[in-house]
Amino acid sequence: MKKHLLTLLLFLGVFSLAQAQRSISGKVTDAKGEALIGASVLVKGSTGGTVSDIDGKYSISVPAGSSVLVFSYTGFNTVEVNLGTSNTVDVTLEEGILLEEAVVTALGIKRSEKSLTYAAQQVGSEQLTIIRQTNINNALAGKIAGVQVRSQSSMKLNSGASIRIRGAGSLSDKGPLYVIDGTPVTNSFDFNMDDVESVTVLKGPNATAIYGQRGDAGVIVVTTKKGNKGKGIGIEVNQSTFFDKVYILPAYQNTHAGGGESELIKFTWNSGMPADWKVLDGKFYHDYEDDASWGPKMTGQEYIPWYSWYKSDKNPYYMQTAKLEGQPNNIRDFYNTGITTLNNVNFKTGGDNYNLRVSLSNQGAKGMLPNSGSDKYTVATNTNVDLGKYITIGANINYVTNKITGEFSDGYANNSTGSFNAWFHRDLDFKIMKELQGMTSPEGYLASWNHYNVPKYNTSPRSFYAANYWYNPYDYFNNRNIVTNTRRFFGDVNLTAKLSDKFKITGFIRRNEYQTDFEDKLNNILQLSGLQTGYFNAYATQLTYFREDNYEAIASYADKFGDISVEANGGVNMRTDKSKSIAGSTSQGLNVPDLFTVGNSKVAQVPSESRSLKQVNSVYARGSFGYKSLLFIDWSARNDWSSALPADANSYFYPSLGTSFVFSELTSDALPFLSFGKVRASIAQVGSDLGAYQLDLFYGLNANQWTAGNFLMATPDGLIDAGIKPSLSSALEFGTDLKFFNNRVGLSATYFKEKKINEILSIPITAASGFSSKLINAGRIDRWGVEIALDLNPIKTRDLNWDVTLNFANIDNEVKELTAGITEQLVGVNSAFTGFGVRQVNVVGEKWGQLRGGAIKRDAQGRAILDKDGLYTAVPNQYLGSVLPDVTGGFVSQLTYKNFSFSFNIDYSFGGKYYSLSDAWGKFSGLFAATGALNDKGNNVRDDVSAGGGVKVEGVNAAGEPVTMYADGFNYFHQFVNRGIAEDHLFDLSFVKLREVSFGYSIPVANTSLGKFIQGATVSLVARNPWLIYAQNRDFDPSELAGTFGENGQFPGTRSIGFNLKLQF
Amino acid sequence: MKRNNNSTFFLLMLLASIGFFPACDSFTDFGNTNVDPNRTNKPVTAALITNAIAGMGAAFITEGLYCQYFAQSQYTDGSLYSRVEGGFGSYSGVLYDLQNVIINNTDANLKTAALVQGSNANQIAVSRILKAYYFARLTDYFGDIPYSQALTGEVKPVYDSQQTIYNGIFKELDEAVKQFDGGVAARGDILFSGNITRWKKFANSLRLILAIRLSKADAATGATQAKAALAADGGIITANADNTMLNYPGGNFNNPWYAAYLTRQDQAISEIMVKMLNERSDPRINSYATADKTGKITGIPYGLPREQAIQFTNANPTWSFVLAPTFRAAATPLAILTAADVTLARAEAASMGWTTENSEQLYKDGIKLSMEYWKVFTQASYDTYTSGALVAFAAGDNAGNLEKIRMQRWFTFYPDGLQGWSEWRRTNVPALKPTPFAINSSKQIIRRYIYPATEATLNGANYGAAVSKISGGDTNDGKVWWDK
Repeated sequence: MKKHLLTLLLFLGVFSLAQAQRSISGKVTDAKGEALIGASVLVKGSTGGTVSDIDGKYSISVPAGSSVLVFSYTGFNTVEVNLGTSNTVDVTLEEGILLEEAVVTALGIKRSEKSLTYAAQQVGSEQLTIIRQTNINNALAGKIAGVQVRSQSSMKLNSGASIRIRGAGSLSDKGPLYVIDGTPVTNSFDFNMDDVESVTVLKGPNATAIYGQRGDAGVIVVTTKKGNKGKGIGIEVNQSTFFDKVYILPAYQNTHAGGGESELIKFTWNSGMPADWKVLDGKFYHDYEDDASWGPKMTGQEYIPWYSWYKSDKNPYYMQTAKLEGQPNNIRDFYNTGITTLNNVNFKTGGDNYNLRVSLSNQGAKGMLPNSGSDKYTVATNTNVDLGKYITIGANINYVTNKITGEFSDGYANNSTGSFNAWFHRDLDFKIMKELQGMTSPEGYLASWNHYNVPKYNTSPRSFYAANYWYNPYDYFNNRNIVTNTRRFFGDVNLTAKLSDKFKITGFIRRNEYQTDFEDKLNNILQLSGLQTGYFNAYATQLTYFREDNYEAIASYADKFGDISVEANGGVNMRTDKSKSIAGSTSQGLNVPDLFTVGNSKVAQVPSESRSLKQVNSVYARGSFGYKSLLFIDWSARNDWSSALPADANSYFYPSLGTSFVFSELTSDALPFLSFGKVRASIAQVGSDLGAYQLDLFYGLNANQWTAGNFLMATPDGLIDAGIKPSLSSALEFGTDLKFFNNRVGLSATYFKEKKINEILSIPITAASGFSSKLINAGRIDRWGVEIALDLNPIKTRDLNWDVTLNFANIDNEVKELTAGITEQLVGVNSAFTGFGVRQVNVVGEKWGQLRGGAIKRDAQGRAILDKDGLYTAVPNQYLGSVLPDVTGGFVSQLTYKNFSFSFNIDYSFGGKYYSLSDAWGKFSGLFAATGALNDKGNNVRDDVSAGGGVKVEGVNAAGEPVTMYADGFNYFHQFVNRGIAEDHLFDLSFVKLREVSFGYSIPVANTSLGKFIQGATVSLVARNPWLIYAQNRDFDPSELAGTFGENGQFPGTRSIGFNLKLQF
Repeated sequence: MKRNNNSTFFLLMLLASIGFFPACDSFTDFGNTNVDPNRTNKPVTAALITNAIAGMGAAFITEGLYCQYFAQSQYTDGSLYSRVEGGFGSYSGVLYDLQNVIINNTDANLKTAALVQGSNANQIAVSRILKAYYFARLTDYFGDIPYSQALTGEVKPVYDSQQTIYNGIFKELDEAVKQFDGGVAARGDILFSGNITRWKKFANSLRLILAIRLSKADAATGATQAKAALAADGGIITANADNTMLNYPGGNFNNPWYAAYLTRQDQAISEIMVKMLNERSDPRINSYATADKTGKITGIPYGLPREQAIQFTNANPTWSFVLAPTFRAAATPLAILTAADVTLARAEAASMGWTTENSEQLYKDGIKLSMEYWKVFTQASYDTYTSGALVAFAAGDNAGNLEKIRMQRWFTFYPDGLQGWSEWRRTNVPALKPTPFAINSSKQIIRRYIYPATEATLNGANYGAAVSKISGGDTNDGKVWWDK
């Protein structure tokens, strides 16, 4: 300590004693021309020095005898400059090895890593765009410790992945806030990854406190690329094309045909039938009308296929029989090869007092489902102009139009997977289905594989030809036209007044608005051709408008007092959320077929509309004190006022405080291998509120009146606790950041413990209370965990460089308290079937997200208790595991050799469970492989038990004696649904997945004649989801579950292969 | 000094920038911002009553499978007794709407505003009758359910015994009938259009039907209540003109049987029902089912496994839907309680010795009223029917005659599966046999519904206490209190 005091005294002494000196000033910038704030400027050989200000500018007095200035900045290479005659020295610092060291933090402030008192992991564009993902959440998978990415099948066009940061920290499953260049957006996929410079994930309240109530589930801070003057004319062109194929499908049985009748049915012609049919008299067909696959064994025997009965020009198979055979690849055959193209052109330039970047993108997709596709255009611009010395104006303007076509329902009984995995015939050939799409009976009914059995023709041709439950899926999709057009605008205009070298004030007007125009048209031919399909000729339309405005002013201050550096921001923000929507739909058919307008509804319908408004005002401040490069103290404070809270309790305040100690500053001599070492600790609070209009019982009107004047009104089902107050989480976080061997090895480890109290929640209550939910301040949920990120640069030579990042997080939580008298909170219901499915429940004393449902009754030793038929007995309402994984993480490898690069990314997750409704129905309906498997005797489980068939079951009988039995296959696979046993359909959530692979070659254009025009050219071969390395049940991809509890009929996993071309001019 | 100037300037600018925003008051006070523009926080009691009445209509198809009125043509799991769980949705739905009407007509601060929808007493009386009706429906599914603490906002209401609930319902019906005053009738009354006498007839008739349900569990109370119902002010339903009918307008509000066949066609009249109607030459069969082109009615055998059901429908593709088309049109009124139901109930009460009315006459009147209701009455067919051996009273055979009355009640409630199933559970008439292909562990006909699965989570202790009183636990095999 004494030594430091001495240094301080010496430092002051130099200032006071030096007489003959000159003043040097200038600007410190990074390679992109961006100001580096707080860069150290030292006079070599002396202790005199300063730091650059918020615009990167500095001014220093240099003693007469000194001629060299040393510029340094954490994460950048140090530069020494020999002073010439000029008194102006501008310096550009090149970034060092570890790109992460300058981190974009809350409010977009770029800070050196050493001063951070919490974990904030940043991913640069190189890692984000190993392949050009169309969605930022997918691009983050495996790359950030403690971030769980829950992707969706890419068949669901433009349906984003969702993200959980640090597991579930809230009793509701909230997603993070996305902030793009300071503008909060609610949607994670309306910006183009080509425009993203870096992404910082702010994980806990310590990092996000300043974002206030919206950041309590974490914040994803996106910084877009800015313009600068580089070589060439500044144009970059990116082109990618991906081919998407189905990858993960359930294993199906291929031994038994469709229907509920296990024998072929003999066709007997009668005089009420068409004379043509006589040729088939005496031939056999399988049961068409039951939509399960408990039909006859397929041995290649002759049968009359479903399509043989339709007399049509399109039908080459009319009155022909075929061989009844399994179709192992039929489901895979159904899907198209999806084609996704991404095109981006961007232009950038810059000068001393301006920079500009304009980026145009188009993303088009031909979907894997019939009649699906998307077309998205993005314009992103940002501009900054200095108007003289004091004023800078800037604007970030983004405009996106997105048209998505297609029907993407992946719930129960949807017309693709909802059929293939639940109600289907395993003998169907999709090549023929595709060939015969659009084929009708002579009366005009679309041909269906699921028409009634032949005797029904005698009732009427329609009752035979039309679809019982299912159409030819191609016909369904071709006759259902759903289009969503979205137009989104977001961005800001800002004006900065630089009042001195130390202070500036910036005002922002930010807007994020979108309009969605939704239309759904269902053609009359589906109504005409369906018996129990439930579809009417229909039209639905909805117009939605949403707008969020933020008016924000931030004052920034940075100064240095000797060894003490100070920087601070103070701000004020007013936010308004406005929405409006109008929707109309038809009911029970259309009067004029296929005239798609709400007024054409068979039963008159009144359009519905809604609108809402919410305001939140905030005042906040944050700051940091630094002592040399050794010790930093960080603080923040924010107060919010929300219109959605009770008027007398609408204000809430939350602070944070943190510190970091860069001990490597003191150990550089003793531990030369330790390039950087820091420990950090912080505590924080963050508050949150609720949506608009939740504090009073508001009665809605049923738009349809019973009879004129007799209208209907229902009491709302949500009871409200009178004393609702804002919620608070508090968090404690410790961590260390270490770098070894000249920054070749970096380790960041964080332990956090967070307590969330008084969360405002609508919790389900027993309907017997008169209400189905109650809005309460729910007790407390704690979460804690460890996050580790390891960066390695094991090889670094002139030609060869290998960077590796390993992420690991082990996160746990416990629901500590709900509310008086309530120890369980029902979160989600497996919406399709509660009786035999599962419900998601939060239970006091347990981990968040317990699955609850019927289990198999077992004895004390865990042996299943079997009844005399070898079937299980259900025990209802058992806990079957949590939906949260214990461990998540990833592995990113980036290797470059000369002009070649090879990168890949593995993502993993261990622990947790999910429920599969597809598995439940797939077994019930005799579709999944288990229902046609061989038992240990080598006989099909469907064969009679007396003939050596049946499913082998082990357990104990009613008397408690161990037994091994064979249960009838049909009954065995029907018991789970019929007796309410969910346990059989639960699987491990664990997976290891190779998500991204890229192999690139940078064409050495500089040495060719093209070098004059082209600055760079890179081609890459890329793959997305190439390999699901591990999953307990490979019927589904656990990384792409449609719901938090599991799935209800979700789409298959997909795999994409593509190429990418990048040209820079 | 320069530094100090800067600091002052900074603070001034910060304050100035805040000054750009509206004055402090509106920064923290949002006025009416949080008032929902789409909805009102003042309920219209008449509209709540309309909503509650609209909810009375249901087809009760699943229940109709258990009492073997119907059979399934394709997926037969329901009629093979796959697990069935009930719902508590009517508590937070219609029942609380009615409770809310009562609150708005009772609370000193609200009752004046409610007067525009009818006198306070009349609105309350109507609501109490409807509440009694809905509670009877609920308890008949499950047995014990929350009653005394239900609809109070209490998140952990205790389960009351079915006996307590029945006594509560009798009390409510008794008091409600007496509560009507001479003021303006409740508005929004799509059931009786403000006819208070008909409300009284409905309440008293419902009381009679429910009283008889106690014939085994608590015959003394049953007899007392039956007599009280017959003697109560306003009388009971005696003519088809007084039937409690829900008059569907069609369009957005359709007869539930119309709705059932709008997108499905897998429910049939059961072969058992057809056989029993035919054995008695019952003319109602032509209204109870849809005949094929040749006029033939074909029931589907009850409780077939899927494979056999397919074989049957292949052999009999023109099997019959439930009800003749004219009885399931969009705007066909739905019977809630008819004169025939009430008259046959009186016959049973008399036959059990609870009243001194003429059992046989009431029995025949009931049959006549039913035939008239189903538009199949001719004197000749009535005479044939009532003189048949399976229908006509046998002198001196009290037990046999009682069984015939009960049999007629089962026929007459058709297609109201809930009433049919409840009457069968009480009387075991007709002597229905479970399907031999049952897939449940007990292989017996469903006797009650399992409580909603969410109750174990949401109201665990009270749920547990209720379940502990059911023999065999919360299964479909336990019996409700009046089912002995």
